[in-house]
Amino acid sequence: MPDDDYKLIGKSVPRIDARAKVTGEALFTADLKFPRMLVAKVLRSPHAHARILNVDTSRAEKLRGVHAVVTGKDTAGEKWGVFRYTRDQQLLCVDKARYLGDEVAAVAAVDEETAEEALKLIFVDYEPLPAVFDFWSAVAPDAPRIHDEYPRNINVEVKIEVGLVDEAFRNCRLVREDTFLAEEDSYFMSEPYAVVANCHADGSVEIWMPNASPHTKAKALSNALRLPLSQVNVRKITIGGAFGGRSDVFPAEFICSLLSIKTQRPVKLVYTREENTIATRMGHAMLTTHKTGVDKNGKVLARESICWLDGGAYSSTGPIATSVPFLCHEQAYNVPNVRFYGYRIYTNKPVRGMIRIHGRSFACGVDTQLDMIGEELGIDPVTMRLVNARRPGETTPTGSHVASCGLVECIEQTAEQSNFLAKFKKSVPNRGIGMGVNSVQTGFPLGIRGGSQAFIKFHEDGGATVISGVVDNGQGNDNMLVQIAAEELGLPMSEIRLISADTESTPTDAGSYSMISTFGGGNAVKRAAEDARAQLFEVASEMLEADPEDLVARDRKIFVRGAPDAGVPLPKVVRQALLLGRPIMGRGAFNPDVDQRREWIGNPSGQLSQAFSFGATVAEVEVDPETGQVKALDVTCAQDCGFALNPLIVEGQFEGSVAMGGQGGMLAEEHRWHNGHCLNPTMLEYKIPTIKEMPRIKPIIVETIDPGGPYGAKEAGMSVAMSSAQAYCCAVGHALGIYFNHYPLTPERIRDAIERKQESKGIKTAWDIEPARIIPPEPKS
Amino acid sequence: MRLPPFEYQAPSTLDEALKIKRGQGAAAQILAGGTDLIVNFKHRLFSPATVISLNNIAELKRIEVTHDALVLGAGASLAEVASHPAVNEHFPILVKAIDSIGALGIQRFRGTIGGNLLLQPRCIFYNQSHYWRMSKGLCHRTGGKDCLALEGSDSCHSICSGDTVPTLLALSAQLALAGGGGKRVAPLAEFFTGRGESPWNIMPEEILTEIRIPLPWAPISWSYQRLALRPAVDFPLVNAAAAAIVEKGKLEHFRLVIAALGPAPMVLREVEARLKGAAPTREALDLAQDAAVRVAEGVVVANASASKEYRIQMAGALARRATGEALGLA
Ligand SMILES: Cc1cc2nc3c(=O)[nH]c(=O)nc-3n(C[C@H](O)[C@H](O)[C@H](O)COP(=O)(O)OP(=O)(O)OC[C@H]3O[C@@H](n4cnc5c(N)ncnc54)[C@H](O)[C@@H]3O)c2cc1C
Ligand code: SF4
Repeated sequence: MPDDDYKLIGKSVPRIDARAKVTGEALFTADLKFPRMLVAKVLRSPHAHARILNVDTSRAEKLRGVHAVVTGKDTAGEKWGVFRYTRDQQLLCVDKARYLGDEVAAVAAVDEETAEEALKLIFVDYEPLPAVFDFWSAVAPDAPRIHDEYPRNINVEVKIEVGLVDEAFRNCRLVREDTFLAEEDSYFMSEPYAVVANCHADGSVEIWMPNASPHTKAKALSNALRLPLSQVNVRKITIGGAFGGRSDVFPAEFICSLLSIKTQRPVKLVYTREENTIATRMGHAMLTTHKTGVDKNGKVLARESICWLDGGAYSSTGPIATSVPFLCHEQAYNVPNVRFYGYRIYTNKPVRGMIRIHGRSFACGVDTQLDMIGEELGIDPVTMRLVNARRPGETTPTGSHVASCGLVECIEQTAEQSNFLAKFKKSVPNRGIGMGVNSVQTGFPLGIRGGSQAFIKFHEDGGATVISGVVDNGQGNDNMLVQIAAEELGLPMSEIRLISADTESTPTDAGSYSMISTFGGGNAVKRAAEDARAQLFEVASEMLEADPEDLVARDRKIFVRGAPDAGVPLPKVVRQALLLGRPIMGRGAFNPDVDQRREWIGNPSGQLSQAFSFGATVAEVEVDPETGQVKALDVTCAQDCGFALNPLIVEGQFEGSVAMGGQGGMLAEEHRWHNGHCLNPTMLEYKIPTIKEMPRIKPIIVETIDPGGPYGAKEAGMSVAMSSAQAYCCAVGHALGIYFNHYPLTPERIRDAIERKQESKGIKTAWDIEPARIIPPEPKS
Repeated sequence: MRLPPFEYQAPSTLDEALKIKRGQGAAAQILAGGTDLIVNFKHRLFSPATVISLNNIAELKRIEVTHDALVLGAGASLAEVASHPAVNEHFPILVKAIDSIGALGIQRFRGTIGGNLLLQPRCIFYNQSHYWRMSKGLCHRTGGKDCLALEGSDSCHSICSGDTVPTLLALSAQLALAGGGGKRVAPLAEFFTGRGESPWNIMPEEILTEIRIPLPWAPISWSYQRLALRPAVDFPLVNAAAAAIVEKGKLEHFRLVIAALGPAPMVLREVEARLKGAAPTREALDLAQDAAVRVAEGVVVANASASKEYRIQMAGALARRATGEALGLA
């Protein structure tokens, strides 16, 4: 068990940023104002696929109040991509526009009206090309090619095979193959995307924007702008949500920087809600075919999963996005023999990235199929999950050792507290209960940017400033860093300042994606604080004539353990250190213990993450069969987060996860399309849940004290977000006696399934969906 | 998103407002609560020369009971209407309809009853940004020659989405309009044209001043049903209102309206005719459902946040529920 002697760690302390957020004092990028600042607007392609023959900007340039116009000519022909082998996006279109909304040109003008007016004066000659809007037509042999270098529009292909899959299938008692389809979803962060770039006389550029990794943004921009990294300074700013959608680099920051450099003025670009939806990132549509074989006890012996992902027009984080749905489930369930084929397919639609509940069709498919198998074998859903659940000390098929794992506890506790089995067996018409199980990584291998470093310096009054590269997207990272430093240094949180997420003044950090911030950045700050404390103890030990080993820092004092009254005030130690010429400067670094040789496509094997979180969620719902509307009644969610540094924040994450993963993610959230036009890019038509329909939520924190995490912590909330979708899906299915395989479960889909059910017999999915198949390699010409 | 440039006028009397209207006609647009209009401005669905705010005109905000009617000033806010004692006493159905509108903070405190009736009919191809519409192509409503939701159609099928519309129609409301030639009163039932591009029988210089709901001669039993994807914020996917007067076991008056299907609310007269004069039985439910589905099939096109088929089915389901509740058969 953790040291329950902690003063702050493990306690529900209010967040340091809460007051600024609720009073509206917190400044977001769009709030920034600078003298002489210009406003930028982007001209977007009105075609889903078109060759750009000519861009005439002359009239726009002459408009009074316009200071600069940029087009593809200003990109120097560079293409950007997250990986060396996925560089496929020009940050302003040069030869082609590949989706409706692709950036073709941009202007900077004195105000928004003038900028909008100028866009109308840019004349672009397009040659419209045939376009493809779904993966089936995109992989057809005669489909138009979106990128010349990618035959059949296959952008990414991941193949993993471990064990003796075919042989294992032959030894199974039961083998099922089912297909699951999920539509595109979106993040709908409360803050639409915005960028401010400010170019200085020394050639450097400062940039503010919501981001999940300032250092990654700076690196990519320094390449694209051909500036030294030290000249591209990403600044800290309050961020209104990310959920995976702020991770990679967008044309917006490139365009804004370019305009600032051209005009030598600050430039601001604020996206509309529609632009935030179509021109940053959205979630993939995904088709998954699972073939699963079990023994007589329901233990899965082999699984083959084939996935097609609709990636939209560019690669983005494609190799990661293609692999992660599989990886989460090779963690969650122990399946010895696995084969995975993942294809990310280009279409003429907005670019897709990672999202908090990435892989709905994969995950919901796994649990729905387990329930189907359970029904055939007469085994209940809880047993099906327990029989297959990952246990600590095991190794995943692709070679990750799982040091800590509380999945069995999560399953057992959610089942018990929701009274799952009794409710599952007793059939109340139109009421259902379902369970989802999932697991996520805490940190992928990210090369040099996988690690995090931190510094701590002191003020003469004993207060301290923590300097860390970690960014806070709204999840509470700033608070986490301060809480850790305060615990280690024996200071109140109010006496700790934080400088973070600024690439000029803070050291590197992995970024707040892949659930690494607490594990990586938290560990680095903890080590920096330990280092500072050791320095303090050295000075204090001379003052107290005691052994540094026996000292304790608490309540702004340093004292010999057990004798708090005889201690010295911490400020005095700080000043003494200055007098002695030994100023206290803490340093800490942390690099997760992962296999750096592991690569998404080239070598998907080795330690993926140092730690993994696990979760189980139970949802209880009531369905109105006449309208297809679902009311979620109760949700019981449990996650092994290692150790809850701040239970208040962890529970908040769980609640948000249920809203996003289950309530929105499984019942409502999807994009609808009309030939490449997104029909619902706005808050009104994209159905994120409101507080009114949220169910009662019972959060259960499971702690396993991971040996590598700070105080044993891993990550908070992601496993609940993912497993909520699965729980809702299985619950609606249980209510109606239907195995759903097309998501989300909107009222009309539910109605449709009810109507089809009357015709069909046997244990079958609601819809016959064309399975995802292995795509044979293109014959060499 | 920015507003288009316009001249802003906020007269304090109806006469002044009418004078501006007479001078400018459709080029001067009325702003009541603005909860629909401002969004449409930002999407550049309109850019009028002048905007006339009704906010300072006290006479348009009155709510009163005369000897035979409840009279609602068109400029009364939805919240004021829903909390008025006379409305609660005589027409709780209207309170229920208003309570379902949008979100309390914006739509109900700022939105007006007049604005709700004159809410621009909605369409998923129309209520989009300027960039979206321009890249998609024009339709009847935006100056083009086709309908994007139903190719080849010769008129616009955008959706009358106000929550109070079917309710007021079920209560046989009348509208008072003021314009060039003075005041006129028209039944709400005759107000809708059924064409989305010009949805109402209103002259460019006219202003809606009052909504009059006749006081019933006997207690009304009623039902308001609406279906939306979320319980707050969302417009109805379909809605239905029923009002009935049963005396001595006989149905003396019955009106069933379904709306949010096409440009006009639909009164199911056939159901009314079949049921009136007899004791209500459960057959009424099937009758209402079948009639609603048939009517909906004739007007619904694929232009909302749910599919055409679903909305048609749901028109039937809601008509059934409204009938059942109003007739005490549920
Ligand atoms: C997010 C959101 C959700 C919404 N949800 C709902 C909903 O669930 N149900 C619903 O019914 N509505 C909904 N609305 C629409 C709107 O808020 C309400 O219908 C409201 O009642 C409109 O009234 P208003 O006074 O704000 O109208 P305005 O916006 O001021 O006017 C609407 C139209 O009517 C005209 N007009 C207004 N008053 C007069 C008059 N006296 N004479 C002549 N013309 C006039 C205006 O010129 C304008 O074209 C929603 C709106 C938004 C933005
Ligand atoms: S119904 Fe047709 S004509 Fe009317 S707004 Fe929609 S697309 Fe345009």
